[in-house]
Amino acid sequence: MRAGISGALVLALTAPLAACGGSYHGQAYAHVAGRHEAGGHEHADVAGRHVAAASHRPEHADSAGRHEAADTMVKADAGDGAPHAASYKVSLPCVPLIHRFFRTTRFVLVMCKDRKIRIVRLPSGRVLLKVGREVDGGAFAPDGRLFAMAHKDGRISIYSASGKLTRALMTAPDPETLTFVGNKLLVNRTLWDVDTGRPLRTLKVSFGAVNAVSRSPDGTVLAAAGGDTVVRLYDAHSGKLTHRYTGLELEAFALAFTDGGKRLAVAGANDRIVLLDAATGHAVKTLPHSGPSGVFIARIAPVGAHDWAAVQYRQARSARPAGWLLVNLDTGASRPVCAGTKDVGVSKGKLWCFRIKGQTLMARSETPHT
Amino acid sequence: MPIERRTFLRRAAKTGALILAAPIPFAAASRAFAAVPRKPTPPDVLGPFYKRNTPHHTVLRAAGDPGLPLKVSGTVYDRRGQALPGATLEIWQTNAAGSYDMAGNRYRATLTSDGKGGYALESVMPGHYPARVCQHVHYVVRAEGHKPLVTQLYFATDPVFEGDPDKNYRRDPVISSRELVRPVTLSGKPDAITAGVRFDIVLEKA
Repeated sequence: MRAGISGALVLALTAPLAACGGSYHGQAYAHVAGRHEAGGHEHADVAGRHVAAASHRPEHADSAGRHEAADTMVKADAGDGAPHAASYKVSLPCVPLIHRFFRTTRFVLVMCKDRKIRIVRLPSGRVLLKVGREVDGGAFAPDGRLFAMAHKDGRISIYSASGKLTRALMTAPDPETLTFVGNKLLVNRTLWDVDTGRPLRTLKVSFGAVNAVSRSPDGTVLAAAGGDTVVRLYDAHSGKLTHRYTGLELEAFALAFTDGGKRLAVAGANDRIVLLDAATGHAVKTLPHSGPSGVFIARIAPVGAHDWAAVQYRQARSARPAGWLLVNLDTGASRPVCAGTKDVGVSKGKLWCFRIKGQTLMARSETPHT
Repeated sequence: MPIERRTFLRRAAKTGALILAAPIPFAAASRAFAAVPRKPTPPDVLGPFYKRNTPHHTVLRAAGDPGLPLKVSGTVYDRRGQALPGATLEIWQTNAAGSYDMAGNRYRATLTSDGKGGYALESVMPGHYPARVCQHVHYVVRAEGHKPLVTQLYFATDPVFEGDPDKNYRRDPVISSRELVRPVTLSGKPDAITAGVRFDIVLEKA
């Protein structure tokens, strides 16, 4: 008997049943699987994150650990009319149940029917790592030399690019926040030293999560966007908080240093991009509204020259991914890019648009031009 | 698939989720539990639509707004059960159609608990936001000397629970605790029904 606890509905004697039931007419409700309504994170547009698997150790690794730039290995595609376009196709090991791209553009994570995860190097298509264990998320270090995999049991495994398990951290990760900051790993709000396996420091927010982090190209400044709408700048070496930007009313979900690290582009739920002076934390410019009405910006990545960025926008109604824009950070002018693709990567000044159809991965690049 | 309304109500009555009783006045309930040690309110995710600097008002709905009128009230306590006057509650929700106001401040408010730790607001029953399963109201609660609390209020009458929130509350994977799913009291005349929910908040010391 759960009368006292369930207590779903208490009717005052003045409210007859017939009347109360009618109050729900016209209320649509949806059974939507999804852990977060936020969706404002790098990999939030990938469906079905929970997989079951068995073994712990990587079972296969065939890479020598070389890190070729993806865009040096592609062939020009003369057929699409875009002056700077190039493309390639890769045959994946399977039709993936889950796939996830990484910003470096060099890797894609796929899960096959055998429920095992494969890390596939791009554009060669070689399987770098195959691991069978319950996986919830993953991230590559910017240089591609390390890969962190968050397991459902709360462990994080760090693999080298050659597929060797180098470190296991025991924590309770939110896989959405798993991000490498240089050679440190950010898990939830805490930065871990992957060499020693020890936590280094915890980033402070008044409340909520750390939505995004970014490190300046020279490695001296760490920026973090908090759920409390505050963007904080830290000395990356000492961890000391140096500046706070409190000019946002809504949360920011994406950060990217641009202009050689002089500026920090901030994008979030206010559908504007704000440029901060990375040395002072002061707003330099707020770009005019770019893109569709009511966008909910979720990700930003500098492309090529310092004044361009790729911005993922989302439906304001549902926060679901809606598309990508290439935005000029000086003028705010934008144009849609990567139509029909779910994710992008940036490498050597080019924006790569990724799409998977069946067992084939298709990549196409776009270069900013005025 | 949504169940038929009468089936939902019959099932709710059968499982004990539906209680036909006169409501106890909230003030009396508060007195009955005054200074009783309390468990901290479970936290829940912030969500992407938090907005700061929202207006200080207690009536979130405007005349003519569609939706079932909703009154939410409660008291902010510390873990010892002492009321916390002057606590700040930032509250936001969708309208009855399930949409958040991003450009403005509809269905957003900042409240301050009164001298007895109490707060109250008038709104409408939120709709079902497309990327979520259940109806909900967001809270950020802060009081001096206490840890900020980010949480959400859910409604036991949500059709998703099919009248049995004990069994079905996990259908929304964001719901961190059954305690956040609160019973709903319907009152008023048949042509002017209002839903009432009591949601007390218990903060932990900083």
